[in-house]
Amino acid sequence: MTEGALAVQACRRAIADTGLDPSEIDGISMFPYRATPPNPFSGPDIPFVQRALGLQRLRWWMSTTGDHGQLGAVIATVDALEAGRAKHVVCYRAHRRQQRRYLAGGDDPTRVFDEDEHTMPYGGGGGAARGALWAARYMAVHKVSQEELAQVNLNARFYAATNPVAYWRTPTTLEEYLDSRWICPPLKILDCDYPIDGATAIVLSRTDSADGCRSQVYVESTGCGPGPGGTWLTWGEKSEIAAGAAAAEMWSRTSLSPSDVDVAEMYDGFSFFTLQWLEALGLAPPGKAGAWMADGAGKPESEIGISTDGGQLGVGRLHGFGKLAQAARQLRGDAPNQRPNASVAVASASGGPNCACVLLTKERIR
Amino acid sequence: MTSTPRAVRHDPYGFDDDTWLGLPSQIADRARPARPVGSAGFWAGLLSGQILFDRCVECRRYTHYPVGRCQWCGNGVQPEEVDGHATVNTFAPCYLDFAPGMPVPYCVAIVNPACEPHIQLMTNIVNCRISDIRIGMPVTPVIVRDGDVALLFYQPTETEDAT
Repeated sequence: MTEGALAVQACRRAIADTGLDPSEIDGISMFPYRATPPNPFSGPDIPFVQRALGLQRLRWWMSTTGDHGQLGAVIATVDALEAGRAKHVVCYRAHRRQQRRYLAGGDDPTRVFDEDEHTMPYGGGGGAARGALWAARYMAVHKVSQEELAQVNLNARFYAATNPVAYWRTPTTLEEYLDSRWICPPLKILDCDYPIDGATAIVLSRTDSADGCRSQVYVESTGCGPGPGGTWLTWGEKSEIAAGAAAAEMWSRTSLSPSDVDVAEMYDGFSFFTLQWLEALGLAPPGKAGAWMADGAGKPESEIGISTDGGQLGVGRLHGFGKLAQAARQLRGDAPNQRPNASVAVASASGGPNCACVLLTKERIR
Repeated sequence: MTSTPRAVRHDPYGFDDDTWLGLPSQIADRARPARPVGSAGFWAGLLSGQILFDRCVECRRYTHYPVGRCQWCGNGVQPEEVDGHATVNTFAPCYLDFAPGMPVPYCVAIVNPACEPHIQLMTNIVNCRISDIRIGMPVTPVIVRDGDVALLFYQPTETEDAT
């Protein structure tokens, strides 16, 4: 399937899931913008999806960059709904696995622009090389061991084994992790998410317009905003990601607190982002998330579920949108690896300087 | 399959691969600026053997990479030659190439120049073994020119008591 067909299929299924007539959708949002020339990463543009859904009029649309992490599109949508710009918005992310060898550099990776000028000539402009610089700093500052980092993959593959849509359907062992191939130390191949063809769509509605919609859960709070700011290169202390600022903002907009969280669907484009998110959200002490997971946190018998669908390390790279979808499913009660009595869930997206998080509740609080 | 080494853990973070990272002599097939505008002076400086950082005419702090103004106070800047001595902020040995023209393994690093430790400068660490590299290690600049391209590499700083 093309990325356009994937997006349309996901949007149609999401709209059908709510019980809304498609003509009631008056807004569309997406991550990211459609690149020119197009590449499979960037997904189909909004007019393509609008036409394929047969929507004749929209009141609002927006495609977002990665500045807020992939879930910035969702946060922009929540803000637009609260401002009254639309009633029902379908928000999607669709992509096919990248065929290109190099992620940075635009069309021609030998001719680079802007910050890539200062990173690509040294082979550090993207991918695991860029991520490993942050991982190394995080692990050195907090004395995080490779065994602790391994917990993210072990947890993901544990859950993925029982998720029918996961790419990886076998659990991993610590030995298997430690013996796996180095990509950029401290990152191994099992610390890198798996590229897949995939799409996720989510319908977001104003609460005063959603009477009668099926499958409702509530957006309680959102957080984005970079804090100190910067890029993947210019950010100052790389042992900390922008998740700290995003999480602080999210908690400042709700009466809930970290101890209320039943399910944490944590970004794992690279494994260490999950540890940094758990710490930034106040779910684990600084530098201790890996040890906490090694003690059993996140598993079915634990008080909190972590990346319960198998995450991007197990299901495949759905770019943060998969996190939000699984968080919503846990609250609806129809998730793969469903947890009993899940009432508060948090989803996070991206890492480094680009972070966003969304807090969902089963019952409406505010 | 497990011929790659395991990490030496904890602080100082190191990695027990003894591969020697030589000084690259051919860099012309690496990525290069498509239309250097804001950083044109920096790249031209490297070609003439100089490290030029923008320096604030008011607060005297350095900004790099250039944004045309001082990133610390927003005032005007003038390029000024610096010695470039730095310490390693973080590093990652790479066993896959993440850009064109990069034979593996190579080591990508971010260093903080002594003249402005808040500057984050990306480079490759050279003239040492992978296992020699540590966060916090002092490093010295090495400019390599290959035809119409010049890049700024770093090597471990030789200490007084080294022979």
